[in-house]
Amino acid sequence: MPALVLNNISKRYGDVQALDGINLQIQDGEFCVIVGPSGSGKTTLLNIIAGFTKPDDGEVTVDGKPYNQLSPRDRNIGMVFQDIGLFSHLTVRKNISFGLEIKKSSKKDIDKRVEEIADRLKIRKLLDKKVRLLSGGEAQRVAIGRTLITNPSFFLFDEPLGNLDANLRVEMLTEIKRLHLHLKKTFIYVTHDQEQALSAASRVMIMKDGKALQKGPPREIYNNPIGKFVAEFFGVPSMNLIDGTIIPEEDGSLFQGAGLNVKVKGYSQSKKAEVTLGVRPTDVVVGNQITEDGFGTINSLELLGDKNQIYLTLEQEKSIIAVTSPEVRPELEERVKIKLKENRIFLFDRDQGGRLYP
Amino acid sequence: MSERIKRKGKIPVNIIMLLPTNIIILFLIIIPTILVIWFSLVNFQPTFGINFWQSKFVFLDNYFKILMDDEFVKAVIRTVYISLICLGVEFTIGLLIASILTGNIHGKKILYPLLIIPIMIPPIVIGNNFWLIFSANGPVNQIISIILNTEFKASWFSHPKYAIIPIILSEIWHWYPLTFLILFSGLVNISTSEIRAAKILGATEWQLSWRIKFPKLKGIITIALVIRMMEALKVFDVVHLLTHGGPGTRTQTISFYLFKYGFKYSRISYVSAGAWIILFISLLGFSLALRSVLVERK
Repeated sequence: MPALVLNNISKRYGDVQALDGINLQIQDGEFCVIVGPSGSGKTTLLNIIAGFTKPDDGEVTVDGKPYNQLSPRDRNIGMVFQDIGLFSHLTVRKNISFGLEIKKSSKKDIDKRVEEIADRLKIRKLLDKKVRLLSGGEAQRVAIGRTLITNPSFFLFDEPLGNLDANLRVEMLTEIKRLHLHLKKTFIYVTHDQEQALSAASRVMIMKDGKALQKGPPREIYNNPIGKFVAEFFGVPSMNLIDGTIIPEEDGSLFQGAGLNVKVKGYSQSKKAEVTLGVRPTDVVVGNQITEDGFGTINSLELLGDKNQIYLTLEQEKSIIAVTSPEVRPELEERVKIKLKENRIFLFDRDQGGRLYP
Repeated sequence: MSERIKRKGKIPVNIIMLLPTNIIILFLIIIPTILVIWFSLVNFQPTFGINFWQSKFVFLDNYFKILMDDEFVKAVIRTVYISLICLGVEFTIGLLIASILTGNIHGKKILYPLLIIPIMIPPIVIGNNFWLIFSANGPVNQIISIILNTEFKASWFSHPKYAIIPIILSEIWHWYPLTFLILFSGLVNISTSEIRAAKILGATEWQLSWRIKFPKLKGIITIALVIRMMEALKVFDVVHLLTHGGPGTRTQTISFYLFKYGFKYSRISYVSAGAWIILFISLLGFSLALRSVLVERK
């Protein structure tokens, strides 16, 4: 049985449709990541789950119980906020113990629980510090510790790593993943950074303009994007999108755009059409001993050791990225042959963004 | 190095620019202050025929005399008493309104300017309004008449005990917007995340106020109280307009006392000493109050 069910949630702010009929079922113990560009309604959705915002329409149920009328206080949720929101007038210890102290637990219990949590999050040394003196990463750990104390049945993370630098972000994400493994509780994690989503999630929901575009395990979304937006948004570096025309042929179709002539064998249709071709950077082959689909000039090179990231300019000033093995050693400004892996090509409707092929 | 506008044999421009302000400060603050110190130490009293140049140095005599004056001591106590009542009531009203306005209520945009109108009205208008409200045929007496169902015609301003009530009420009405504004700005500055975090951890509204909002507002509350206290200690306009310190000396405040003896009876040296005593007491009180805020900040 799913732990948390969102049933047709809608929310409107004036003229803006913040959420438009969101349905989501999250299983007990799942790590669900909600990802989308800013303004896509993901934080609103989180606030509705937490009870800070009332939906105009739709229902939140947890373990079969309706949650709409419950105040945040009675929902038994842990939440980590984007701007952390530690109680700045209290010490770290008092921040962590807050949840138990307002429930008037005995001092012995509180102390025991605080130390347990401090040990798990490696913040024992900080316990008597003022929170104002904490670094970003430390503050984040304390914020997580503060939510742990009441033993909530699920956790909400609202862009928790947004304010941290890159190294710390990776470290904290690992920490959060470890916490999830250990607690076996439901985690709902909101972010605009799909790299985090890819690495952490057991399931991802991609949102745009208040709508859920696609839901599923990250691999599946990566390999099987539903449309142009998801394809471009999900994956690092982004999928290359090339506008062009598809021309019917005897055994399939031919894509023409930005100087490329790509045969798409599996796709057949009766007349010419304007489409967008999508191909992941890892599926662009660069070299001289290949039958080419077209040519490109190397604009910039990033030799990353384990792989090369090549920035190419095609005709009509179209830029694409290719990720190749480190053995491929092209020169800057060199004109090279380009081949797109045949079975890894996507075709999207140019205007609507829907997927045409495969 | 910064360029200085300075030529040989001429006064630098920056000094010329600052001169008018400094002259004003000199005549309005520095010279009077020095004069008041001097006056408080001599027996200058024009009505007794003792002119300024004839006055003799009497050291702290004026200070001892005024401290022994029952009327002065009572005026001080009365002023503190009025201030504390005003402060208490204004603080409660201010906090209440501020809490309501930080919540999600309709008509905020209209309420907000309406609520701060009193502070923008000149004291003399407020004094006259309250004089009308509490006059023998005024609305207060009429409302009480209706409630009691008999004719009620109290002359508020000449009653030895109740004459102070219109004064306190007008002060409260005039100044509650100040505490409200300061507390409101403090309340809206508490981050939403902190409040939400407390809520989701299970805090009730009461616990939220008591454990999060109040401790965080401590500094701003002290500052609000100090600013309001400074204003309250100076209460003069309404006393002058409503009761003239009467009946007898029953509603006399410090500033009214000093005004009466200084400008009516011309006992300049005497009231100078009184002014210094008041200044000393207030400075001591305020610095203690503000120190607690500053220590907190460190």
